[in-house]
Amino acid sequence: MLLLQVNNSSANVSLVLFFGTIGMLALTIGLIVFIIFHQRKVIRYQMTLQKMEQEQQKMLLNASIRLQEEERQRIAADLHDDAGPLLATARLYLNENLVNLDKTTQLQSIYNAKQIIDDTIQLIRNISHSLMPPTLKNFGLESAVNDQFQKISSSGIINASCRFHDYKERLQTDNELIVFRVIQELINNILKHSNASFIHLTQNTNGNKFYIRMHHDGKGITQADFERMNKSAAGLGLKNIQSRLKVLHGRIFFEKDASQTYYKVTIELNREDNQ
Amino acid sequence: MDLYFYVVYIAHIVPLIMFSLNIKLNKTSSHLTVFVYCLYALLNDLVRNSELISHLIPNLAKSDFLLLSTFTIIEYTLLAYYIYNLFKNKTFKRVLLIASCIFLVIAFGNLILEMNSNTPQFDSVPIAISSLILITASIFYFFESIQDPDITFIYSKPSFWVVVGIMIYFSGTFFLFLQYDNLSEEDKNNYWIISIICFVLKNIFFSISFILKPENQQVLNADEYYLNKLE
Repeated sequence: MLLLQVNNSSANVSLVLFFGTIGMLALTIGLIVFIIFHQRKVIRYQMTLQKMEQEQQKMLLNASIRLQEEERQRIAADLHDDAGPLLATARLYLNENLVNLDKTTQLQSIYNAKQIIDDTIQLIRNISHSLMPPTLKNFGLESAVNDQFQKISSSGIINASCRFHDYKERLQTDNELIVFRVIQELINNILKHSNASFIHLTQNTNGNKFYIRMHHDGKGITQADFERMNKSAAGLGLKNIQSRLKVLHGRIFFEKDASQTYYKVTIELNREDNQ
Repeated sequence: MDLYFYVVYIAHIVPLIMFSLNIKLNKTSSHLTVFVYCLYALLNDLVRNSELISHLIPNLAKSDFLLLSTFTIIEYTLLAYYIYNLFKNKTFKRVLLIASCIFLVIAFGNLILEMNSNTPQFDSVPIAISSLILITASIFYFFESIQDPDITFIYSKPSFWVVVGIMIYFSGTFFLFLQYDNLSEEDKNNYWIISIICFVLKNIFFSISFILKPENQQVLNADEYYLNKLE
């Protein structure tokens, strides 16, 4: 009986040893394999994210290059189609002076040439103002935006108003220009696509944050639409906004008002980065 | 038995050769710890198999116990020190330090007690404790590694292979050493193969770690691999 018990106990020890060892090894190998596969999965996910980010950067860069090219083409067209013929006409009038010796005709030609040169000066001034608004340069973002909104409002198409609540300390001039361009682009989009009857812009600050909010009652987009359009080839203007704000380390949010009546766009900047 | 003898000695020597061949790569102190451990394990086996110790301690059981117990303590100290240096998390370091202190108290207490007895037992308890601490520390290391934002494959790090070796060896031999005193002589001989297999595996993993470039000399290989795959 004692021998049987000893044998049983020995068999139990063997069983514990055998299954224990197998179990421990299986757990260890399982853990190691899990860690290897988990890490591969994580790395793969990180790389996919990185690649997507690179692709988006590429799209933003392309959009900004295309916009630059469009701007150049517009300026070239303005100069070629408007300034070119005006100057050519002025040249013709002056040329006539050399041929025609009649005093009255000469005076008339000079007067006409002067008129044309004045028109050309005005045209070039307009082109120059569209490149860098003088109000923005001389008086800052608040005045430039006010000016822009007054022009829109006086056209009678849409009711536009704006109010700066806390803009005693101006942003850096370059940054003001970027914010102004973003606002211009947003206004442009609202005028083109939304069918809104009013636009209202407000500026305020909260701690280190600088906010510009625009409301309109037309057809707008939400953040999801914005992100979708940013990832697609469409929405050049929105990509341009995104790439401009990236320079300022700023963010933009598109949302529908809680009342579901208005669309709201918020631009958020860090004051310390941009002052 | 002769075959086992040769296998064990070859397994002992291979990592030492690998270390020596790649000595330029393995100059870091952490690798040196593993090398010292491998060298010490070889010397310990050589001394145990020779009659050198019997000249100092005539009692064979005591001399064998002394060698095994000392080996357990030094083995644990070297491997724990290696893993301790791998940890970046201070809490993990502190836990390992406290666990090591507990282990050392138990191991030395066991050594003194058993040396005073006429028939010292196999040091199952210190070995089991050291195994548990080292396995837990290895799991901590893996946990820390997968949280590391570095984009490097974990298996391209030499430390990964050392830790895998430690885990396989200690988890494979845990029950064998724990039940060693309860086994019959026949079972001991039968099951000793587990220890040999785990020992060989451990030394293969250590050898792999010695031929890999240290972490700080590696390029971010995952970048290239996945970017190519994603395209």
